[in-house]
Amino acid sequence: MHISDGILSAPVLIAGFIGTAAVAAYTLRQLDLDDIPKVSVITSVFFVASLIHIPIGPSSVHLILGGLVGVVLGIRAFPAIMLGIILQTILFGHGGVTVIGVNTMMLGGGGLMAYAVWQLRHHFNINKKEMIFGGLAGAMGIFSAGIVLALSLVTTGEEFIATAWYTLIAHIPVMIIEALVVGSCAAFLARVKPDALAGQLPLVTPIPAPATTTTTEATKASNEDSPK
Amino acid sequence: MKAYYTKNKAIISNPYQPARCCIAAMATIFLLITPTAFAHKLNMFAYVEGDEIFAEGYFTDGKKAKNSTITVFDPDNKQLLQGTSDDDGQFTFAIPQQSDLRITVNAGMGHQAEYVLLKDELSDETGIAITTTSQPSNTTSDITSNNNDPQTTALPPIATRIENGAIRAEVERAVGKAIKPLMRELSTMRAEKSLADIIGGVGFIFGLFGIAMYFKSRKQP
Repeated sequence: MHISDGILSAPVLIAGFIGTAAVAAYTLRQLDLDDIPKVSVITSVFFVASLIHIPIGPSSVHLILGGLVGVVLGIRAFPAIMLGIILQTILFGHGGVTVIGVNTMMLGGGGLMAYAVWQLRHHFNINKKEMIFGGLAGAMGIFSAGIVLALSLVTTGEEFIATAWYTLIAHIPVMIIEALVVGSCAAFLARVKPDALAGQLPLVTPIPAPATTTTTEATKASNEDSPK
Repeated sequence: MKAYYTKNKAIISNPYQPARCCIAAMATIFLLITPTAFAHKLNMFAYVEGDEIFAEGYFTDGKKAKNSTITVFDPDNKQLLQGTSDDDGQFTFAIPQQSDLRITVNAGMGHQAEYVLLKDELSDETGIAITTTSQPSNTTSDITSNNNDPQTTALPPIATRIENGAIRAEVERAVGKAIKPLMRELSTMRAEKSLADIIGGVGFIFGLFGIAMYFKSRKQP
């Protein structure tokens, strides 16, 4: 899912670059030293995923994994996807240099939307919610990228509704596969290494944090009490 | 034997180790199974045959770009003609003018590729085509009208000339036919990227983040 060179008009390309620069500048500020190894691993997963083809019958598909990047990295997904796209463009001629901005808005925006969907899981109290919301996030990554793709193609004169429908229908198999992959990855990570997933800490730590402090205070108090 | 057993047990007792091994194994298998990895990139290829141009769009996985719009531009970016490719992703048209031609194929959903046919490629081919068609007819009309009597002296050079023209056209056709799969092979090879490129890209990513980490770590005391 990349737009090629020579399709979009100059204003759209420039808007893509400006939008990408703004979002990347904001999200890169959120990048801590501790995040960097994780971000680099996930960036390479994203980079490789769309280069490997899985043959299905006469056709073949490749994963995009924008949703997975969002689920694991949160808003840091955007710079990760941006770097992945830049390298795919330079090394493999995916898309083109002039469309790096638009492509990053498309897939990186998909990653951010996936993260938004992923965060919704905190409002639900159901079994296997990592699986379900990971899957939804995976599908969302493709869905919103498809919408942006259709939106940017409208500017070339292709009719929006028809293009959007066509794009989304063409990507339904990808969405299903992506949902399965991202859902199972999220469930696996939630079981094995929950802190690897984005958006875990804010809701998990504050609740036990007062509890632990009170218990330590209590033990301290008891410790202080006992010598007396 | 006992050493192996204890070793294995030690590995399994570590909760993270099996998962990590599993992921590493899966990744390597995945990479090894698909030695030539490529993406859904659209490619375009055009060649001249006689006074016609064949344009063909195809995706790197071998699928043809069916029903896609093929547009021909002149060097000043003026649109010369436009057409739709058939089920084999092909579109054939007569040479619109003797200049560099930029041919683009748009397969929808943001897929577009272009191919530039240089003027040399056009004029060379058509030049031969014109001589092969015009020369023999001229010379034959010459013989029939002017020289009726001494066939023995006049005929051999003319016959060879006619034959030359016919042979030339025939050779051209045969060579064109023989080269066709080669050209296709060449253009797919150009589009395909090897595993080495992918690994190189991953190396780039780690390297860039390594640099980022270096500078970040210097800032944070």
